[in-house]
Amino acid sequence: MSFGETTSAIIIDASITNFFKLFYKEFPEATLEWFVYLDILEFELLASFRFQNIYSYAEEFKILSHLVRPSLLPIEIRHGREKPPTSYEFYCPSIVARQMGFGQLPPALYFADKVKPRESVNTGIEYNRLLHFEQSFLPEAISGW
Amino acid sequence: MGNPDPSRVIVAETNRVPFKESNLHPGLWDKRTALRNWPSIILGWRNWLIKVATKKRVDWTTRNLDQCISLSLSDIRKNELMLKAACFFWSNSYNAFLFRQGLMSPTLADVHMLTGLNIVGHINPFSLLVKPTAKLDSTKTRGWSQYIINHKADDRSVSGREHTTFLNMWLDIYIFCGQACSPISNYLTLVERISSNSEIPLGKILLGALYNLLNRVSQHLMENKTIPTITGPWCLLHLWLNLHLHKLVAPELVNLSFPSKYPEEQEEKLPKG
Repeated sequence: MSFGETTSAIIIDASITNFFKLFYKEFPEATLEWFVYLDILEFELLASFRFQNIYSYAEEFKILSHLVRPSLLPIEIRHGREKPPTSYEFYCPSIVARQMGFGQLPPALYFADKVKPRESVNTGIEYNRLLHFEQSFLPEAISGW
Repeated sequence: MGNPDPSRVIVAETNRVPFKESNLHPGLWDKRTALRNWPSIILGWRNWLIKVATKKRVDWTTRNLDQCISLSLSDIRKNELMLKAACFFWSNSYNAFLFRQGLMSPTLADVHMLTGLNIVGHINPFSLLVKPTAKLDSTKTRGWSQYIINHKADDRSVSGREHTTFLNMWLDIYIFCGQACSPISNYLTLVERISSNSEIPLGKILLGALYNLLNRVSQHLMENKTIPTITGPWCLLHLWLNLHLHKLVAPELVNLSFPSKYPEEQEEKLPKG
């Protein structure tokens, strides 16, 4: 069993009102768990990644570096005449640092005033420029920490 | 890092989520079509999966696909109310849910842990928009069951084309929850890149699709427009919400079992990698 297989078995029967209350009023204290990936040995998790091993193995540190790094996520890779334009979404993991077992910092929007959100990209060259920017700006972004 | 007090920004953003902006009318969701894109049991899929897995399981493990392909056998019961309620709290500036206890969002860590997909590396989406080598004959195909009959070879061998068509179906139905009732070739180039040993960060593409889905939904909600069929990885959002709310119904995750309603009597067990 993996986390995916296990969670697909969960059924939460509640009315839409109860779900609204849950999200609006706060999860009950006993049920709120920020970091859900505790090392449960019974799970056949990926051999390549365990949060507990991030400082011990180079491969896991490499994965971690992608998990915590602000980046651009590609959207629209489909073919077709009527598909929406190719674009990107911002990924800012620091705003939910608690979900990865870290302490919470004030939320920061790294790409604000630098890249327009969800702008259509028309050519591969344009997208390459964005990727280059994404690679180069991180040291600058964290220098103020 | 600028102003260390984030309360002003958070309060301002809180007033911009659909929960505050829209009229919260349940009729905003089209009852019949809004969430209809959900992976269903398709006749022949399990048999095909087992057949291809006997030859390709090792390849899938190498490319971090095996866990996610196995998930396609899961019979996840769609919880529309949970999905609809959560969408009202989505902030399209933060790409996160603004719940009372704080910002929460599906992350690459969630994608990697829930699906096992690769999240390492970068991809230019234009490299996936070139024409695929393989072609699907759409005139012969009526529905996904027919697609399986057309592309599944009778013998035990699995050709490159059969593998490509198998992954194309898996991506369209079980990963990106496409709306097509009959097969399409949207993902053939991506599949060909995956098959040719390229390191594709499929997890990043999936998370991008999820953010995009939620942003399209929240835009409709804020404009008080009826939500039509919006395609995207609803299943991933469902798994993520289940995981974070699991303590409401199941305090221990390890006590749960894999929900699959596919008939097992006709088939041998899945091969192990």
